[in-house]
Amino acid sequence: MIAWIPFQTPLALPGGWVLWLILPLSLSVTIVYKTLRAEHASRIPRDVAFAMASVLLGLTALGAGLWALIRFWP
Amino acid sequence: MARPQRTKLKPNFAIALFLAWLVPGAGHVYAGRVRRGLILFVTLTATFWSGMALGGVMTADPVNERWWFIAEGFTGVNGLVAWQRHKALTADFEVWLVRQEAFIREARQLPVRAQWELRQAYFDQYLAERQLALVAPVDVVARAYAGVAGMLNLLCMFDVLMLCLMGRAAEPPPPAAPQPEVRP
Repeated sequence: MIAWIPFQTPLALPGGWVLWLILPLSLSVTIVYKTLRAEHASRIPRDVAFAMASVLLGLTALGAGLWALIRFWP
Repeated sequence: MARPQRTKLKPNFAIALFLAWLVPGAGHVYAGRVRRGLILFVTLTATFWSGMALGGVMTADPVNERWWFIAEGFTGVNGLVAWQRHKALTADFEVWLVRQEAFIREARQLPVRAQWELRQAYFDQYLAERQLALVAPVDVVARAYAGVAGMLNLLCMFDVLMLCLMGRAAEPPPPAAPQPEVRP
């Protein structure tokens, strides 16, 4: 593995790890969206938690559905 | 004696828009939504620099990845810093290139278009020697982080613009707690 210097050289990621990096990105999108849309600033944490849970459930369901399609499709 | 009440100035939409571009979240702070502005600043800055940390200096590439670069430009000062780092790298490459006698010998015999392609080939070699070349799959992830941060900041810019134009800039009052029902 090539020595990684953050902000200078790219990180050598194994292929399977790339998928996990979608989670922090989706958290970031959720935080920004809910920060803009929340009725009041005090509601942001709760709204983000609900929206992130929905995103995780949706992604898991989508992944399971696609896996089942590939696995069991004749 | 009653103290004179300070009148709140209506935020200027152009200043709010410029601040929102320059520093993510600053437009919301200027418009009076401090807490939201701070959340946006931390989230967008962290997302952008996570991408830059993953992909290195070649994440912002105005020549080969123009659309991603434009998206990164919406992060304001973050995008400008990334662009300056890329420009410094390109300047260093130019210094290195003029020392390559083989390049100068070959380029003299080629038309302009082919000279550009040869220069690109030497640039790839320069990056590979310094382990700076950004290749799959990290290139997609790094540019997605930095580019998505830019696109999200564009959304924030639009939001603060609309808030200022509609005269709803300041934070609305907290939702009232439900009142207990009073029976006669």
